[in-house]
Amino acid sequence: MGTLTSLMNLSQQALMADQEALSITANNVANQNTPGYTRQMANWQSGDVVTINGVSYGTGVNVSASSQRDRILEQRVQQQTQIQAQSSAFQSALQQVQSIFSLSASGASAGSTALGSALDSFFNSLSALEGNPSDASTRQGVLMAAGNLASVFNASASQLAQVASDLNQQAGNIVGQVNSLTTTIASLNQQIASSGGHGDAGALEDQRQSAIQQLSQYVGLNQITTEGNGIALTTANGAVLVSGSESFAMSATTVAGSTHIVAGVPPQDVISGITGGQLGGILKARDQQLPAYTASLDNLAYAIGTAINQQNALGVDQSGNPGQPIFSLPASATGAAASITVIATSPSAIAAAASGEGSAGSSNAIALANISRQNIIGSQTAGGYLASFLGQIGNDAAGAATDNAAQQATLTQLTSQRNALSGVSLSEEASNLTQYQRSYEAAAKVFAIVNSIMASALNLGVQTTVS
Amino acid sequence: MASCQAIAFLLEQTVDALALFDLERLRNLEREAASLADAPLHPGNAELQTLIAKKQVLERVLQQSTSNLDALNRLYERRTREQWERSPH
Repeated sequence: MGTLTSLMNLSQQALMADQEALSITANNVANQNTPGYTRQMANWQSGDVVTINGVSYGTGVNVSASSQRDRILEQRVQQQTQIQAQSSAFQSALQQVQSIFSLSASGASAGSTALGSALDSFFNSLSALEGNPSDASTRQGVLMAAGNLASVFNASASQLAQVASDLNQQAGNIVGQVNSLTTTIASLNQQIASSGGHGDAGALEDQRQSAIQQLSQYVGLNQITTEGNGIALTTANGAVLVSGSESFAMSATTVAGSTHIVAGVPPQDVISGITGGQLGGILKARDQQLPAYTASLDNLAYAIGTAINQQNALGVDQSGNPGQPIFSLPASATGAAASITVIATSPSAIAAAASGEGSAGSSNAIALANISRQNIIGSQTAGGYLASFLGQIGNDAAGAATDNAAQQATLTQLTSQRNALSGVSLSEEASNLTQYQRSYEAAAKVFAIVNSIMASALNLGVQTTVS
Repeated sequence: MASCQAIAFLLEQTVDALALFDLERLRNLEREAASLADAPLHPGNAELQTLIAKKQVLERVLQQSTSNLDALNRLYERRTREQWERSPH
């Protein structure tokens, strides 16, 4: 059998182990509201068995703390955070585009938009000219409607350019946030490696997970676990951001008014391959959607301006001269919406009469008004093209809203799963507290009994009592 | 007659309940959906668009729930196994 002293040691170890378990539970309760905190569990392990004279004796118990985390689940939360942040940023950009064209979330007809209204007014003014080609105020009305149409095109193009500019600004700001977080993660990698690098590093890992979670809001990541419990991070297209204790800063540069992002080793332009996070959504909107919308707007402005100018050239103005261009346009469609203007200054410049008809004729005015019914952009009329264009924006924005709502719900699913596993449950901690308290009391009782026995042993055959 | 608002609200609630894997709430919503299913519905164009958008969100969440449920099952199985391994025999 073991000695009385070894019994004392055993009960002392049990008391210390129970105290440690109580500390772990108390720490969990204290951190129940700490963001990113992962619940710790007390792991009980019996001490080594010692064999004396062929008899084996236990040597007590040890307790260690381990964080209750699932790394795969945490990675999935991060991936979903990246997807959701991208869809949110993308939706936000498309909402801005919607508002430029006064499209509500529930949709609006093309005619009710500023551009649709200006287009209708312009063609209506030409129709009015058919019946009254010599009237100066009717002619003035055509020029005013043309000027209004050009202004709306200019304003729409300008606002689209402003959205792109805002997105550039946001991308630049995000780069700063990313660099701050990658520096933090590299530093935590180093601290975790210094702490042993084996098993779970507790609070340090919580801090690193929290930083990666924040980084996931900004940019899509590939995460690779390395030796020493380290984590390497790259962008979705492989540019290294963190490797061990080193971080590699992103930088933002402006090329032709557009923000480019340089990252990795060696540094290279990575904007074409960045997906995920707010940056992914911003770049998707800036580089895919906005150029498409701008091109559509340019095509519409160019097609209308060109058709009107060509038809006006076929007629004669009030002075009997061949019609001159009404609109000023660039050489190609590119930039047409931003630069279209009315260059005709006099109402008499409108060539309402056909050649040889006399200046009071209206045949060319009829032809000008008929442009509204002609397919001047591919197989579409100007009004039809505008309706398709606005419909496309509305559909894109609605699709982005649907996607974002679904991604948000999926993120909630994953986050609640992670919290169920890693979050602090007060009822569970209360149960553990009671269990460890009882265990502590039992160990204390054992200690008291051993103490009593030892006192009795010391008092054997002596007068003085040790109590 | 079922109102479009009631169905839209039901779809929203279903997405919320699914996001939390709230089984009890999903069962209640199922009963509610069953009672609304037989009633005639005459949505306008805007209402129809709203309902379709909410239905699409629900479909997307359902699709993505499959992989999330797989992860949950895996975690549950692992915890059950660990508890069984730890329990005294």
